[in-house]
Amino acid sequence: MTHTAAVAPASVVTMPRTLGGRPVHDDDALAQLFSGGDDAALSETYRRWSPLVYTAAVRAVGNEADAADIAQSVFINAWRGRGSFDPEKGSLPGWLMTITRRRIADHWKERSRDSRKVEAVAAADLDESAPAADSVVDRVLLADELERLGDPQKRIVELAFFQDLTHTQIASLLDLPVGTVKSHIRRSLDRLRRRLEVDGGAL
Amino acid sequence: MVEHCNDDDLSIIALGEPASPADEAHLQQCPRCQSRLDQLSAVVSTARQIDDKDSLMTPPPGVWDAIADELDMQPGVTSLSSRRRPRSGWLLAAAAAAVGVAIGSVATIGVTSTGDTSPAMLAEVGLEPVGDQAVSGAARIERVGATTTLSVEVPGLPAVDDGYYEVWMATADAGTMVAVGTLDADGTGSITLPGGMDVAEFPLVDVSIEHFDGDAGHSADSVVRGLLAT
Repeated sequence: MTHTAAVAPASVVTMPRTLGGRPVHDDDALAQLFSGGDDAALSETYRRWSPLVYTAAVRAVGNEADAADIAQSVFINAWRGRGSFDPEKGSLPGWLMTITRRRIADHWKERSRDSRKVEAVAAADLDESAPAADSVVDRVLLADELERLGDPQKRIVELAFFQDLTHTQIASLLDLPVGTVKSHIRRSLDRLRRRLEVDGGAL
Repeated sequence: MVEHCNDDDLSIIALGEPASPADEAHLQQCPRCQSRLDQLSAVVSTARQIDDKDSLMTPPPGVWDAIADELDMQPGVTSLSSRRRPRSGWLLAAAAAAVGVAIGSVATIGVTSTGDTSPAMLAEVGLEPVGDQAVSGAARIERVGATTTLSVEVPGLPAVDDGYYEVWMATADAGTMVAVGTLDADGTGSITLPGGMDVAEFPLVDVSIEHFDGDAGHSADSVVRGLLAT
């Protein structure tokens, strides 16, 4: 007697869908587990996003020891404040980066206080450093998102950003229709723009 | 009334290419389009300042230890910087949940008679990228006679420095993981499963990057996964 093997037809094997342009993979499930207080979700969140937090901090404050302190405090604060994170409203990395920006700002405030105390550092230096920190974080975020773009989008955007080629030059170089290049550029820019949006609740 | 600029054109203008006279005129008088253009231009100008130093660095291992210590994490939650992972890694538990909930790439494990000589397909599942991985693949379980074979195919896997790709099968709750074999350089593997292994008990198929480091545990560095429904 033979039972029929239940075989999934090829069409059942679906690729990750996209929702609002963002691919749905297990980042979303992780965000749910994190906000639900699953210990192990913190460990995974750290594995996945600590390089982003740490690199942004290193670039913004200029030294690895302070950046390590910032990264530590970001994850501790995120975990303790997870009740204020709403996975429906924003992404987990977006929220972590919001906290990172605040910790970086706190760092500069403290430095500024210290410097007033000892009158050692010119206030002008600090005034310049603090606002610049925000755009440094943005740069790290965009660099990371660029890495995540698949080809041909990544190649197209890199040619447009860093080689200053026009969209028609890119089209002819890559042998793609002009309209295709334009829509890849539009989608990629939009994706990069969304990455910079601050989201996910307050802490 | 003039139509708004289209988003493709705004993106091109944000990159510094000249606007058409019509777009130029429209932007002068449309705050909405001007504000979109400003946002996109900000993205472009920030991106153009990216340099090599903006690529990601891993924090020193002490950072995680300090966090786990401060938050009084249970011992089971390990530092990921030390590559020793418990076989009951959370990673796969979450993956199982995620695959089931978010991706829905699920096949059914069926039952066939033994003794046939033609291959009987027991289950087939798509393997979805984990994290920011860009590859995906498929796994298939077949039985010929008494031999059960897991075929895995993940096209486009990059070569691993000082390492290789390992295929795992795990229980649905990821409480137990079995390393069943490795993938060839072309990202394929035809793995004979141990006789007596109840496939339905290990429905989670996972491919991880492993290194020649003497650590037999899962590296926590997975590339693709898929869950066979039981």
